[in-house]
Amino acid sequence: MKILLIAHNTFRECVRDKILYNLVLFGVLIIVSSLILGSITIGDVTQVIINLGLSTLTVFGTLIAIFIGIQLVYKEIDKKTLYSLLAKPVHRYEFLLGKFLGLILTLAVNIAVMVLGIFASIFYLRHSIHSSDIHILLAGILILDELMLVVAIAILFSSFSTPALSALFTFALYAIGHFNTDIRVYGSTSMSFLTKALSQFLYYLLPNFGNFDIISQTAHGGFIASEVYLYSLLYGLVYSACILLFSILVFQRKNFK
Amino acid sequence: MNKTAASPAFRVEWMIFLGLVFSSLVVVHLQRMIDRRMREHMSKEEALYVTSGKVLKKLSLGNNGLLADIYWMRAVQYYGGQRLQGEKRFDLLEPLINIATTLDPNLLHAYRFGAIFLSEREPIGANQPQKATDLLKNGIDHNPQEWLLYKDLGFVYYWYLHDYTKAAETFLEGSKKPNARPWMRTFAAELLARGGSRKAAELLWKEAYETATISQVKENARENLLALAAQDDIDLLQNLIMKVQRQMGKPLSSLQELVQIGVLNRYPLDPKGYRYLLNPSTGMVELSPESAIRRVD
Repeated sequence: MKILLIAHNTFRECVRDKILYNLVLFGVLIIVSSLILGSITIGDVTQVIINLGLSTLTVFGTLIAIFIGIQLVYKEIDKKTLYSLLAKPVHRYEFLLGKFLGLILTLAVNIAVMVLGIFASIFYLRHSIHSSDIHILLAGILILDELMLVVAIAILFSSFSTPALSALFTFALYAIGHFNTDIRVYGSTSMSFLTKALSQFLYYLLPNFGNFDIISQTAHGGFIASEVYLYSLLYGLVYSACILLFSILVFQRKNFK
Repeated sequence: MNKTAASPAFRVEWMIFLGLVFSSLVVVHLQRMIDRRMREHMSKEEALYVTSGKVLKKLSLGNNGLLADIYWMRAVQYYGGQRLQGEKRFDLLEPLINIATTLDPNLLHAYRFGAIFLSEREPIGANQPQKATDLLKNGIDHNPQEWLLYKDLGFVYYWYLHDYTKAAETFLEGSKKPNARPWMRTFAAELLARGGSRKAAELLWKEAYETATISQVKENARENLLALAAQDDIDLLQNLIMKVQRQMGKPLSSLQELVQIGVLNRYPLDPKGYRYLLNPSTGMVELSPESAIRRVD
């Protein structure tokens, strides 16, 4: 209950901070693209709209996840509001989980509106929505799962570091996570046992953001196998839980004196 | 907060820790499941998303040196990966090397080793010596004083393309560059006089072996030297067989007969320890099919 209250407050705070204003920019982008793409491209325009829409959704979502995620805890410490909160019967883990869920709720609303925007744009171009377009919604859910992981990482870093460094670390881990498969390939081509073992270890240790990479497949009308989708979804949830548990462990031991 | 083993805070921390260990194991398991399923559902991806080195140079915002190193590493990993998987196609090799050298036109090792990867015959390399000469000529355009590039270009002409005139011209041109080794001029003369003799080839590979600083390049030179040594052995055995057959007045059916009549004191083996074979139908000495000696045209 306390977690949900904190989450609700965090969501309201994000709305107050005009985070959802990015939707206006997204709306303008998608409307203008729908209007002009038909005249400047050859082939399926809806494919470009899906690519553009989902990519914009990912970029905006990642920026929000990183830059708001790193502020969630730090702002409360900086403004000293955390002390009054923790003086009440609120556990530290409740505070952290509430903050996390609040931002996830903000991102979910953001993604839901953006996905609706993509559907509206497709309807404008094609005058119909096909049953296969459900893939766009599924892709949106997987992107939310990915952003959940980014928020968890941002919270972890912000629980022991400054906002600037937390942003840097989160962004670096996000970038490395997209090259994760290359680490394994590099190891598999190496003759050294140590390099092989180290690359395997890093491959499983670091978050694999490649698991959430389905935008172009969705745009081409295809989709990843349902079990791969499910495993990727579970991977994001469990990895986020893992990082949150670690953040709680760090936050529990943090001395606020 | 006093955290004794019995305190609630201690218990909570332990539960969190156990949860962390458990969820980490689940993450690894899920990743393995994804990898396994992805392999089943996806075809092998082989794509180069940005193919223009010039575009990448602009995008690198001045960090083109670093990006060139990254692309060179990608080229090396790609080459190694294809070889390990027994692939005979090296479609991305040339574009990757070209991007690396466009990003950094002074990246000498990319020209030099890239040319080896491109020239070597399948399954060791891409079997594209013509592309290797283009790469090296491009390298010479950007580094006209670098004698090693002339040496490598001459080598590709000589060994892979068998164009002895062009090889001699390139060696001669390279011999005029600063720090060029004196043998370049001698070798050019040798080539013009005797064309593609094995002696000349041995001289070149020996030089490559002695000057190589990278183990794979040294190993490649050693393999070629062993192949040439095997060719010398085969010629020697062939001459011996002809002589014996003339004396005996009948053809030999196996090399064992040379041992039996006392011409050889043991069965002849190639430099890697495999038996040479006499093909009774052609009367020619050959490498054993099991032999690990590299075959030379």
